Amino acid sequence: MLTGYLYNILIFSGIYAILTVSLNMAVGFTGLLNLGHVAFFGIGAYTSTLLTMNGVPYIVSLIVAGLVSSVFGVILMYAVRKLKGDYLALATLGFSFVVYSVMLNWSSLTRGPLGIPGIPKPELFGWTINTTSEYLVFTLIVATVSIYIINRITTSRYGKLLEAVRDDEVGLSVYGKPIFSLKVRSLAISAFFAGIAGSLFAHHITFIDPSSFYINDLVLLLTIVLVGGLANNKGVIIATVIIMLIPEALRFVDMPSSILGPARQMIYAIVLIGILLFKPRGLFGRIDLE
Amino acid sequence: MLSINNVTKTFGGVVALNKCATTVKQNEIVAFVGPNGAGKTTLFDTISGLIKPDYGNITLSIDDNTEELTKISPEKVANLGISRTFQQVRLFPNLTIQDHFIIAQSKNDMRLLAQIVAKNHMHEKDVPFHKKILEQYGIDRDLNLYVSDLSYGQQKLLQIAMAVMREHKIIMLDEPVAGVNAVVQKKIEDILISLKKAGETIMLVEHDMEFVRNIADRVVVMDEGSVMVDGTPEEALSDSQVLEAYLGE
Repeated sequence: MLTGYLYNILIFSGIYAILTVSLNMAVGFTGLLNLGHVAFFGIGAYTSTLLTMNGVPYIVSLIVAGLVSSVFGVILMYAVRKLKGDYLALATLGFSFVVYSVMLNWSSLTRGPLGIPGIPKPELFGWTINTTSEYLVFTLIVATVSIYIINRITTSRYGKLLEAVRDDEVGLSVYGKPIFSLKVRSLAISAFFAGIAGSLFAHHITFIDPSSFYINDLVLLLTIVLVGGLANNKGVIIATVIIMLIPEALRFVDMPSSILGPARQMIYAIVLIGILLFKPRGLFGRIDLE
Repeated sequence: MLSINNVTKTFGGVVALNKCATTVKQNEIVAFVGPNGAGKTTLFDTISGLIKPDYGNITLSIDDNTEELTKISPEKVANLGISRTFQQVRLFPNLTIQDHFIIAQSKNDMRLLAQIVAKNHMHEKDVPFHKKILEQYGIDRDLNLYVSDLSYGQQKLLQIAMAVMREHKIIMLDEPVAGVNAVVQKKIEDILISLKKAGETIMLVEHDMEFVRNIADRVVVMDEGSVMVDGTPEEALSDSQVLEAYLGE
């Protein structure tokens, strides 16, 4: 019983580690304050769910979930290409609301607020991942590969270009580097891995509805990235585990379930405010939040 | 080589460039002088593609190819061989000195997949070369130091080093010695003299007339967005209009 509980926390930590490290690539490394990440997470979850429920093999659904999210990342970047800073943040937040509304109102496809139950467990080359321990192994493999790839990118010469975009776009353009292409690729890769995380999430809890991909989750993701430190992948992974564990303490406190949900959000908000006030570079970061 | 043809640029009601016209020949060092607001930096920004002119154009001719710089993006202008520095240094404060050299030097850093699978994607073989550049430019600091930890003078030197080390046809230096101490100023002067000896084509915005006299083959005096005088340093700096408008004599 307790083992299953711990495995669940670790599975969610793995899924959120993919989400936050990929968000950090756009926000921390490239300087794109993207508040649409939770929408890519949702797009990946719905894509994977709908494909597998229509007979598409899971491995194909997983990759297509990433690709569809990535395509939306490219579309979003083209739409906001003239925007920077706060304006970019607002536009991408708007994208989150639009995607949420589509999930909520396109009932013929998503079943709207009723959500989609009975999402099948992944089946890989004849192996059905049924138990929590098996799913933990699968999640950790996908998370390790995803984070490894993102880390390779962000520590490479290409990653240095992304950081240069964040620090000074104009300054970089005179060295012949294509700024817009760097931004598009960064958001596309970031969205791809958010889509992968969405697929893992949907097939683990076997039920999705639009409320899983709302602004509450965005606050959680941003809190983790800011606590870990912008442009620091290790810090973000550590922060993911810490912040996923903190609210679990509430389970052992005797309080009604109606208070438990808001209490979690309050904890995230308090952590976020504390970090912004007392450690604006996060626990392990070296980049100032502007 | 570079032809600036009646370029006009206005910002609201302010005319920054007014039918500005001149040329720069290969292996020539041309200094652009003039009072603040004369349009020198706007001209550099227009050549770099950072600002699009309202009228006129700028062309770069190399061998038999002529490109209109005013129609292409700053990245493409840079890749045609226009290398530049800024009056206020524009470096990347969260990157190291070596990262800056790699950005300036590397052509293949956009090959994403190749870099993911590469064994050693940070090119450690370049370290001795980068250390040599630091020595040449008198920057006595570690390659792994963040540039935000450099002094202003060292940042200016690094910016010039980056402009020179990337493949280029023309180097544009916007007030290279502004705001630096005498030691760094001397170092920058020595660097420019060695670049002159190497036959580089350089465009320079500078206020120090003695410096301009020593280094430039030609001086273009600008005022209110137009070219007022264009000639040798002796001709330009002894022109009565120039003395009146610029030096107040």
